Amino acid sequence: MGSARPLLRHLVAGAVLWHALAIVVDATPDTSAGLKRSAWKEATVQAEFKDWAAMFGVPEPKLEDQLWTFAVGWNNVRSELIGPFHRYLSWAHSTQSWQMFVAPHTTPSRLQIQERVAGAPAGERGEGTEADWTTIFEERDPQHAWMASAFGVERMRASVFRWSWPTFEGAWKKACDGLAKRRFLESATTGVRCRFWQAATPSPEQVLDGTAPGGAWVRALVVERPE
Amino acid sequence: MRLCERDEDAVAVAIVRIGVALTVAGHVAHVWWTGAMPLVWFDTAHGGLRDLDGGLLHRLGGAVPSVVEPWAAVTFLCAIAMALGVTRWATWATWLGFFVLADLNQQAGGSYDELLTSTLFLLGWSGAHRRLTVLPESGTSSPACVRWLMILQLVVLYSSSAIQKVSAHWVPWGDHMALWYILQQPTWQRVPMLWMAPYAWVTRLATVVSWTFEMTSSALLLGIWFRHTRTRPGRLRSLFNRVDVRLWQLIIGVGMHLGIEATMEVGAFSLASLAMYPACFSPDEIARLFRRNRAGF
Repeated sequence: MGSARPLLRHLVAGAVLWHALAIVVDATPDTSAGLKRSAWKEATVQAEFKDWAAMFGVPEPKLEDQLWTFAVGWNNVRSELIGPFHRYLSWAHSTQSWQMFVAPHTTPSRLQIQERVAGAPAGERGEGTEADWTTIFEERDPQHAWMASAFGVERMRASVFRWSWPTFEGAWKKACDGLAKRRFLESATTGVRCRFWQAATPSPEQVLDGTAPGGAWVRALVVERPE
Repeated sequence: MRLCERDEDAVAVAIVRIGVALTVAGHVAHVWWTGAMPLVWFDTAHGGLRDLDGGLLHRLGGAVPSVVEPWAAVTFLCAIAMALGVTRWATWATWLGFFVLADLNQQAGGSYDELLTSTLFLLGWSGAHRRLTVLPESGTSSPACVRWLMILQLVVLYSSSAIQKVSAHWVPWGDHMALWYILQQPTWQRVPMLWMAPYAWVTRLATVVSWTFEMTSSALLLGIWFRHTRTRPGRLRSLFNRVDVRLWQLIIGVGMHLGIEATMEVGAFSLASLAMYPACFSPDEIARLFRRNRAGF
C-alpha cells in the first residue's frame, strides 16, 4: 500500500473513515425496539421506572412520559444520522446493536413442557387438572430433560426468552405447536402443554432466610394430537 | 492518513483470523451436534418452530433441510479453511456462509452474530491469510488500518453496551444487583445459581467492575494509540504507558469474559470478543513474545 498511487491512498483513507463513522453512529442507542407502551407495563420495566423515579424524586408517570418523549425524539434524530450509512452497514453485515443485558429481568420465566399422561381424559380438550400432566422438559432441570441439549444452545435460549414476553404471542403459539408435533412423533400422548413459571427473583437475603417470593404459571398453551 | 498508507506484519490479524474462524466453526458444529439446527434454522413445515422465508437461501429452496444442512456444512468447512489460512476467499466465504445462517431466524441469535460478521468483514480486507498459514506465505503484510478498525470495533462494542446499561441495578449509584439478577435467569444461566446467596458480594463487585470496564473501554483505544506513539511527548501518554492501561484493560476483559463463560450460556459472544484481543498488540510485540517463548522452551 505504501507505493500505491495517491488517489488510491485517498480512497482507502476515505473508506476507512467511512467505516469508522458508520459503526460509531450505528452503535448509538437504538430506542425503536423499546418504543412499545405495552412492553413498558411489564413488571421488570415498571420496577426500573420506580427505582429511577425515586432516585430523581419525580412521580413515576411523569418520568415515564418524559422518557417516552425523549426516546421518540432521539429515535428521530438517530434515524437522520444513520440514514447515509444504513445501506452500507446492511450490505457489509456490520450493524452495531449492542443492547446486552440493558436491564436484568427481575421476574424471569422458566419454560416447562408437559404431556398428557396416559388415561387422562382428553375429551374436554383443555388443561384439566395438574394430575393429568407429566413434565418432560423444564429449563435447567436435569430430571426433565426432553431435548435439553437443543434447548441449551444459546440460539434456542434466545428464542425461549422472547416467547415469554407478551409481544411474541404469535411466535410462542407457533413454537408450542412445533414442539408438540415433535413430541407426537415420539410418544402416544394425546396432548402437549407449554407454559412458563414466572416468579420474582429473590434477593440474596430472601434466599438465606427462606422467604423467596412465590410465582405463577403463565402463558399456558395446550396442543391436542390431531385426530 | 499515515495509518492507511502503512502496511505491517500480518501476524496480529492472522491470530484474530484463527480465533474467529475456530469460533464460527465451533458454533456451527455445536448447533448441529446438539440437534438445535432444525429448531432454529428450519421452517415450521420441516420441523422448525417459526415460519422462515429462507432469506438469501430463498432462491435455493428456502429454510429446508436439503438446503440449510449443506449450507451449514460448507460454512463449517470454509471456517476451517480460513483457520488454516487457505487464501482470502475462505474468509469471504465464511463471512457469507455465516451471515446467511444467522439471518435465517432473527429471533434465534445474539450480539455474537453481529460481532462475528463485522469482524469477518474486516478480516476479508486484511492480509490475515498471509501469516500462520498452511500454504506457502505469499507476502507477510496487511494494511495497518484494518487492525485499527478491529480495535475500534472492540471499543465501540464495549462502550455502546455500557451506555445502554441504564438499569438502576447496573449504575454505580444503584444497588449493584444487576449480575445477581442476571445469573438467576433460567434463560442465560448454565446451572441454577441461588447457591451464590452467601457470596452475593461477589456479584455486586463483578457488577461494578463490568460496568466500569465497559464504560471506560475508550481508554483501551487511547492506551493502544499512546503505545503506538510512545516516542511523542505528553504527560497523559507517559502515564498511560507507565501504568500500561492497555494491558490492564485487556486483563480485566479476559477475566470478565471467562467469568461469563463459566456461569452463563451466551453463545459465541465471549470467544468472538476474546478472538479480537490479539489485534490490540502490534506485530512487533507479538514477534517479541514469540521469540521470548521460543527461548524459554
